[in-house]
Amino acid sequence: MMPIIEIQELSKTYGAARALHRITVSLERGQPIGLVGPNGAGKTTLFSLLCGFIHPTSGTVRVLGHPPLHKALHGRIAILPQDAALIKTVPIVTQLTFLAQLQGFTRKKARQEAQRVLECVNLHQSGHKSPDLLSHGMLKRAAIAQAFIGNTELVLLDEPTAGLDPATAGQIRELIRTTAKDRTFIVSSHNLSEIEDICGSVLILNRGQLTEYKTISDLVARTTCLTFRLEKPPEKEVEVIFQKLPEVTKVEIGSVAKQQLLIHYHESADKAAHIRIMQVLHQAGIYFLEMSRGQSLENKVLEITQNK
Amino acid sequence: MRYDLLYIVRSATRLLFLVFYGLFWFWLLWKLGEGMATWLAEPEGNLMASWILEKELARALFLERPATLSAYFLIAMAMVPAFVIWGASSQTATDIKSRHLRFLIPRCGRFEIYLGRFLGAVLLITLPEIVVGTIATLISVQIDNMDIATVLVYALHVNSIVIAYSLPYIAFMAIFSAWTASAGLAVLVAMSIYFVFAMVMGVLTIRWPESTWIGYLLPNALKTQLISPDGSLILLALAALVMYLFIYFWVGWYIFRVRDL
Repeated sequence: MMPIIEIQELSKTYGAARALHRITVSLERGQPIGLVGPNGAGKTTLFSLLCGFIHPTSGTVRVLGHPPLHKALHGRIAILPQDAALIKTVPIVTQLTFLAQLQGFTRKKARQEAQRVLECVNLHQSGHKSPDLLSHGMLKRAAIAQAFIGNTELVLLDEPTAGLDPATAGQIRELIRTTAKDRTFIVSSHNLSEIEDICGSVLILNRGQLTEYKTISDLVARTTCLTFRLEKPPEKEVEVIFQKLPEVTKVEIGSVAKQQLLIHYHESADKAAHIRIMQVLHQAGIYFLEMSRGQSLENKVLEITQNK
Repeated sequence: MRYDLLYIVRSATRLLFLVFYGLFWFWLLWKLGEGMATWLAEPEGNLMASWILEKELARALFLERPATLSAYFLIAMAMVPAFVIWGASSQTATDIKSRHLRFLIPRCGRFEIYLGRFLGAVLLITLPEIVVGTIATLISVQIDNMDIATVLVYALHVNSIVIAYSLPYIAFMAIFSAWTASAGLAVLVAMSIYFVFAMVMGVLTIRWPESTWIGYLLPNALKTQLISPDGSLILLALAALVMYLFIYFWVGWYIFRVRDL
C-alpha cells in the first residue's frame, strides 16, 4: 500500500537556525501516529512542510503520493495549525461554511457540515458568534472543528488539547478515536499519556532530527517489561535479587525517575513470570506504589531525548 | 468573492478606509455640486486652468467637455495612488501575519488565494470609484451646460480610465502586501518608494533630461497621456497600464508563491 507520507532527506533552516535536519521516514495509513519531542524539536515545522505552508531547504515530501500544495490534495488533508487565527469579525459558522465550500460542498450542504462539526466539538450554540467574542478554549474548539470538515484522508493535529479543560480534552480525544477508522491522524502533543492513549505509533523528534519511529508497544516494550514505581529508590545492586529468575534479562533503575525499576524479561516467559517477579521484590523488602506493563511513554521519550 | 466582500465589510481597517474615502469625496462632490468647477468653463477660469495644465488640454477638458466631470477626473486621477496604496495594502498581508491562510492552503491553491485577495482589493477600490463616479456624473448632468448624451459618454470614458489607472496600483500593492506581511508596513514602504521615486525623478530630469524613461517604472508617468484628449495616446497608455498590471501582478505572485506562510 502507498505510504500516506513519504519524506526523503528533508531539511529546513531559518537563517542559521536548523529546524529539521535530513529526515527520512515513510508513514503508513492506519492507527493515529503521535508526533512528540521537546520544544523546538521541529514538530510544527514538520507539519508546516507537510501542508506546504513553508518550503523545504532541501529534500522531498510526498503526501498521499503528491507533493504538498498539489491540487490533488485539496480537501483530502486537514490540519489544526498551532498558531493560526480565524478572522476575528466573521461568525464561526460562516467561516466554517466557507471552508466547507472550498472543500467542494454546495452552499446548503456546507452550512449543514459546519453545524455538524460544531456539534462534534460542542460549540454549535456559539456558532453564530464571531471569534472576538469567544474564549481561548472555544476558539481552539472552532479551529479543531474545521479540521473535521468533510471526509479527509489525513488529519494533522498540532497540540489539539492544549488549553482545553479536561472534560473538553476528553471529548476531543474521543472524537479522534471514533473517527480514526476512516482517516489517518498525526497528533502532535506534549501530553504523552494522551499520545499513548490514542496513538498506535509514535514519531520522536529531537533537535530537528528523527530519533525514533516505532509502534508504542514496541517502544515501551509492553510485552517484555514491567515498570514498578517504588516507595524509595532501589539499591544500585538490585539486579542481584533477580538472579534466581532465568526469564529476567535486564534490570534497570529509571534514568529519569530514580524511584522506577524496570524489569525486562524474555518474550517467551509465561504470565506467571509477573507473579514471580513481584514475589522476589516482596522477599527483598522492596515495596511498590504502582506497577505497569512496559515503560511509560513519557519516561521513554524523556530517556531518548535526554540521552541524544 | 462573496466571502471577500463580507470580509471587507467586517474588517475595521477596510471600513476605516471606506469611511475616509466616503468623507473625502462627499466633501469634494458637495463643492462640485455647488458649481465649484463651472467657472473653469468661463474664459477667465479656463485661462487660470491653462496656467496649471497645457492650454489645449485646459480647453479640451473644461470648454469642450463637461467641466464638473473634468474637475472630478483630474482630482480622481491625482488621488488614485494615495487611495489605492492605502485601500489595497492588506491583500494577503493581514492573513499572512495572522496565519489565517493556513486554514485555506489545504483546501485551495496559493494562486487562488492570491488572485482572490487581489480581486477582493479590486472590488474594494473600484466599487467606491464607480459610486463616486456615478454621483459626479449626476452632478455634471445637473449643472454643466451640456446635453445628457455627451455627459454620459464622457462619464463612461472618465470612470473607465480612473478604474484602469487604479488596477496597476492594486497589483503594485500586492507586491508589498505579500512581501512585508503587514498592511501598515506595506503602506509605509509603498508610499516611501512612490514619493522618494517622484523626488529622485524630479532632480534627475533637471540634471539629466534623458532620464525621463526611468519615470515609467511607475504608472503615474502615464497620467498625462490618460487625461489627454488624444484618443491614440489614451489607447497607448491603456495598453501600457495592462503591461504594468501584469508585471506587478506577476512579481507579487512570485513573492507570495515562494514565501513561507
